Amino acid sequence: MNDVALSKNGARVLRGFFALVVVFLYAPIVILLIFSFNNSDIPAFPLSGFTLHWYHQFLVNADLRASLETSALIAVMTSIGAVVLGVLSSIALVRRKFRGKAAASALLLSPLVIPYVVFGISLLLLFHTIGVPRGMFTVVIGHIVITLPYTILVLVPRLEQIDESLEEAAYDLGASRFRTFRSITLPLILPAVLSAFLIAFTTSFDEYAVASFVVGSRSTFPIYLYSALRFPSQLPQVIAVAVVVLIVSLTVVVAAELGRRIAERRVGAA
Amino acid sequence: MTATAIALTGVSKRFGSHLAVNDVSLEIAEGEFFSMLGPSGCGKTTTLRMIAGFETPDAGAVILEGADMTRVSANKRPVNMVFQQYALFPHMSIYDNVAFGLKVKGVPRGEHRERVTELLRVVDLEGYEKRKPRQLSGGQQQRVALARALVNRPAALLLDEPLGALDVKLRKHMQLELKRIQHELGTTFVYVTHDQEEALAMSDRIAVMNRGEVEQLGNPREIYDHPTTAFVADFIGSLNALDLTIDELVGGYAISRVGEGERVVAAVDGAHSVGETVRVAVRPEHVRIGAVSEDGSRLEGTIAQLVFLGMYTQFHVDTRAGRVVSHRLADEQHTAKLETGAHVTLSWSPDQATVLAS
Repeated sequence: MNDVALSKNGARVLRGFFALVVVFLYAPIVILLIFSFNNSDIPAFPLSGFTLHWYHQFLVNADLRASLETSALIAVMTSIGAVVLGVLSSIALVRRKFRGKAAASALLLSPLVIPYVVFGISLLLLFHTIGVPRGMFTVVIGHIVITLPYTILVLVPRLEQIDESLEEAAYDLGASRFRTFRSITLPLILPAVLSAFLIAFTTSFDEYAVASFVVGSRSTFPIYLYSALRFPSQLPQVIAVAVVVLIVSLTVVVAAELGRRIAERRVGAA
Repeated sequence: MTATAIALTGVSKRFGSHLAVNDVSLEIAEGEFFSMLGPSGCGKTTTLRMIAGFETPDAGAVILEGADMTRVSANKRPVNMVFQQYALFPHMSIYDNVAFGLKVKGVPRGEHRERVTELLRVVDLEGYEKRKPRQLSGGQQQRVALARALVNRPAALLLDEPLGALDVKLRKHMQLELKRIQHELGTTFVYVTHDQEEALAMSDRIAVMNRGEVEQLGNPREIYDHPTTAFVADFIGSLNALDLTIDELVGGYAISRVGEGERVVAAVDGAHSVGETVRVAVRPEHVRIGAVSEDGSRLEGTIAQLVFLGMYTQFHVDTRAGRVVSHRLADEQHTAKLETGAHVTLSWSPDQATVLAS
């Protein structure tokens, strides 16, 4: 890369911009961390003392834990569903020739540009019309629709990189279509599959708009958080939960990235 | 006559409005090294892919070992393919790459090691079992691809420009290796290439293809010495093409009188008549300078240009029949004295020139 000559002022503006990005990205997280240990109902400076009370309160809050479990379960089902459908549609889009491919591609990716609120309302109407009772299942369906485009956007470039003759070679040697997929295609796209899984999981886990319309009696985690914010006394506890969720998701992301790199190394630079 | 390994009968394939393969019929004998030679887009790869089962012909039949396999999918055909870019599985070891065919065919595990080891020995890659494809050189990867395709003991091995990605020196070496391996295993090889030297060097028979059709089918000598069409003559080796009028037809030869004591004699088949203008082909290395051929061609001319090419020298000679190029080996005695502007007599024997089909 060539160095692009910047004026002194230009360099200063860029540095300032970068500093602002860092501040607005990480300062809230730091503040969150601080207040989760603050011995007061009101999150305001000056700090009044150190406590683990809020963490304890969250541990004994059955509703809260139930909502976390619900969201985790929904996220797992969503990401499995979205990745399976994403792999199938990506293979169709990359490998097969068929009429209306451009239209199919546009249709699969359209949830990216439809506002979640609009989609949530329409999904609610649809379920109501065809008589599907609301519950975890309806949330999973909604989440699969909105996460599917992300999985496709991650998988398609990877599939395009894989020389089709690898699959032909396996097929030529006597493998069935499925065996070819299992032994050749899947191991080679595994890094992208892991990425897609992660994206679908995190997107589903903190999705509020769609879930709020089609959720049943069991609240998801984001829905519980929003409702809890109506009671000021619950705020510190919510802050503690946020910290836990943050740490858990960071761990998951790091683990997934490590897994992806190992998978990547196995398949080499190809 | 040995048994037929592969037969194509009236095979055609169309991609959209493009007729890739047009009514091709071939018979490839068991144990034969058969090449399909032609420029890119001539239909040779499509023909190979129809034998492999990756493309289904629009018309005609693909018959392997006597059984009609036209509609049988690639994974159920008794042929295996070596791909242009090798297509080795990057996530598997060399051993697993070669053993893949055995695994998916359900060959008993006990047999795997023996057969993989045997083939790695044939391709001279013993001791590389545990490596990954990317740790091998291009030539070694090529050998793995060969071993992998041969492990199922196919009725025929299909090779799609397998040496295209190698450098010249390695390519020459691999040509010999391929011949050796083919000889050792006795497998039928169907070889697709655009490199005429490669095809001439290795093949028992060559099908020269152009625009989806087989232009000429024959052994390398026939193809080289007696090209039947202008395309084949032009595609294989360098060539003098002379447009002449037939003055006389004598027992399979056409004679054209060019001047006083000068004439061109060329082998002719098919329907040509006296007075017709035809194209006569003669290879530069068959055109002799100074010598005389009793019953052959004789042309007088002046050397217009002289090109030294190391192993041989090119003489461009202007004659009444047009510009004729002669290749002379550097160590031939009399050529040393020849210079630009010198007057020379050119000659060649009757069988070294051919009247091309129009």
